[in-house]
Amino acid sequence: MLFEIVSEIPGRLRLRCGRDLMTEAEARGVSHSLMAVPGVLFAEAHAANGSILLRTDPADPAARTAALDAVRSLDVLALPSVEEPGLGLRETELEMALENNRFQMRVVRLLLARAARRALVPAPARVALVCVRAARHILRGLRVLLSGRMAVEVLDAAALAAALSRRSFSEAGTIAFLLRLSSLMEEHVNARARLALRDGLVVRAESVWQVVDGRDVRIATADVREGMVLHLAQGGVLPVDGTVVGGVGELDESSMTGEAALVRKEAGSTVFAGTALRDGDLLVRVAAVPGAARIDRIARMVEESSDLKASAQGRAERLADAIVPYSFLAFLGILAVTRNLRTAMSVLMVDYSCAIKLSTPVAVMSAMNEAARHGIVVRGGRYLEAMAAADTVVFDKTGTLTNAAPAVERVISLGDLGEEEVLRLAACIEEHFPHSMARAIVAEAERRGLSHESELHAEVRYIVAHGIATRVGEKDVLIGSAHFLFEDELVERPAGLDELVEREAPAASVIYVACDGALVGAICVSDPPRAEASEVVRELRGRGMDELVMLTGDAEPAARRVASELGLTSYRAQVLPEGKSAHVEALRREGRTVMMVGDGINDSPALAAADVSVAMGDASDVARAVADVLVTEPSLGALVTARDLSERLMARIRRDYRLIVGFNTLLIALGLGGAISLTTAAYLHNASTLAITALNARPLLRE
Amino acid sequence: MSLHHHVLFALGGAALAGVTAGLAAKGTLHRAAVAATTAAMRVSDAVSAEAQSVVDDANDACAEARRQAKIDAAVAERLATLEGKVRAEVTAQVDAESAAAEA
Repeated sequence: MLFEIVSEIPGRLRLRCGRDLMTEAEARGVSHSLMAVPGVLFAEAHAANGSILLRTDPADPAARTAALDAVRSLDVLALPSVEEPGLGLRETELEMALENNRFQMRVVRLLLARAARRALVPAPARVALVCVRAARHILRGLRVLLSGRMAVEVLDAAALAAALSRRSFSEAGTIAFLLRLSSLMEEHVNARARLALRDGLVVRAESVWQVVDGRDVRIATADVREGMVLHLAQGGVLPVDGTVVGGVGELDESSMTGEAALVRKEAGSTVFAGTALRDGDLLVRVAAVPGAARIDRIARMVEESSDLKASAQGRAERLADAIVPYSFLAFLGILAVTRNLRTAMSVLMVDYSCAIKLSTPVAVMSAMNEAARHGIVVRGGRYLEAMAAADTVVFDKTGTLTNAAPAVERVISLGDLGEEEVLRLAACIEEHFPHSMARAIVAEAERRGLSHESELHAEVRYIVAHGIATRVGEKDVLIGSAHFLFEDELVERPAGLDELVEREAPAASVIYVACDGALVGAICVSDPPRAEASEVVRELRGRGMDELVMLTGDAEPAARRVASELGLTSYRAQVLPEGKSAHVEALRREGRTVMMVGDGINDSPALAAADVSVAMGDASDVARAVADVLVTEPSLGALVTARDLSERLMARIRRDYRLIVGFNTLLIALGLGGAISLTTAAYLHNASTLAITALNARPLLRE
Repeated sequence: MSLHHHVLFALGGAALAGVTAGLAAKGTLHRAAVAATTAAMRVSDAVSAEAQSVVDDANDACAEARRQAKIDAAVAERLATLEGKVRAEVTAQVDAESAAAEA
């Protein structure tokens, strides 16, 4: 494809290839194919004028050459075409950029059309156009009125009708223009928030287990096809829509419905992508591989769910509509007293509702959007509100406060099996379970070159936060905590075991392995606190979160050490999952607003019980699926950012209220006093609404 | 309006309907409608292309401005550091010379 470079700064190139070369789908296809070129950080093609924006690594001149070569090699007769937006991380970035472009284009077109109308259209025709545009708003207002509601749309319609009745067509045109601009801005902010939400809803499990001839075979999620039967173990998240063909389980569908209640699924039940199996074991026949459109529908559902809206947002919408009848009453009252229609119309032209109704959702959506830019996906405005109000943070220990990638420090053989056999056995079982401890064991086996994937095991029984019981070959194998093996499963505890473990790995968390009822080994996993954890705890305390609690299933010494090192208010060791959620509920009963931060399958009940739950980026799929807030960066620093963002959002909403009420009251007073004309009051009112809305779309945090 | 005018309008209307029917039968009306729609679509495409170019150019200008602002800020920062050193040096030199002159 031929092109011309029209703008270049290091690492950023704008090319023009000519108009009418590509369709929208081909533009998306070109963007995708260019982003696949090594060294190209981002590519964005536009069908309207055939321009391509390329961002490459500025420090790598070869990347620039590669990118230009890739554009040159595109065949205009066979351009790659992608109809539906993808679900990858870079695709979301592309969709965000395309949404920005769409918004800018619509604003430019709106401004160009307004300028063209003023310059080229004769006055009578312009009046007709204004009437047509105003008529749309008036009809909408009438429809709302006829449906028995007295909402902001009625007030907009009344203001436009009043302007038309006074033959003030320019004023009516300006009101219609400002309403359109406000709605474009609102749509844009909503679209961006929806994209961020969609990104948060996509749980990108890299691989799944396919059932082939009765055996589980690991395959890449990208290779999943319709008709396949997948084995979903407890804690797994469905990457597809499907029908249950075997097993029984309880699914958490909160990612779809916002409801934390578990739903029982058995043979014949329909299950949906993004939902998490909290309990049980399911075989699922794939009905449809999810695309962006399906996830979009879910995102819209979440977005529109009144349960998930910030109560400030809901309050603003209700307040805005509730004010409307009073505006009309004030209009009639002033008309009765002054007998002057023009003066009375001040309260119709200048009202509080538009600004309140428009500015609060834009502020909330904009904050959600900004959070996404900082790697924090918030699944509803109400969670930002809860985060601002939270005075208590409950942390899980392993994988949350401690390192995301714990490492096996020591493998102790305690029976007939050697160290490597113990590790191989543990890795063979743990590879099915997405928890940081499990990942550490699997990673250590891989590091030692131990092959384990070909080993067969079946009837896996996973007891959350306790351990796993299964059969490997001919042996009954147990793996898990001391409590699980020695108290629940009654494995004999050898004399001097605690002293041995204390001596070999005093700071480690220990996982025990038993074969046919006899202890064969202990795996010591070192689990140091994250580098930033101490600072984050201090900063959260400085932001009014005075109760910082750690709950862990780990043993007392490890818990005490971490709590003291990080300066937490309190901790509880050897807590079971139900104990965690009970503790969270107890804190809430004390009147505290609780934020729960967790990462594992065992945290999901507590996550569901909290006022707001946060899952770290390296959390298990199920925690990511059920949490209200998802941190995509593997750093606790995001908690401080989220707290700052939510507090500033609430402050912004409060400031908006004061500004809207103050400024518009002043305008009404000036209008009633005759100090400003009705037209000026209407201009100032609409301009201030737009300005407040535009200001609400600004970032709350410094970049 | 007189009867004469009514008759004239009726005749005019009938003639217009006849011409329209004739043009429609020959396909001229269809071709004209297609030409008009095509022209409108071309104008719409041209406006889209122009709007896209405006947006592109504005974004390019902003990117360039951001880059320039960063460069200016970095240069100003380094100049400020240098200025402090130079000022201290020159001040020390002037003070030394003044002290020498007074002595």
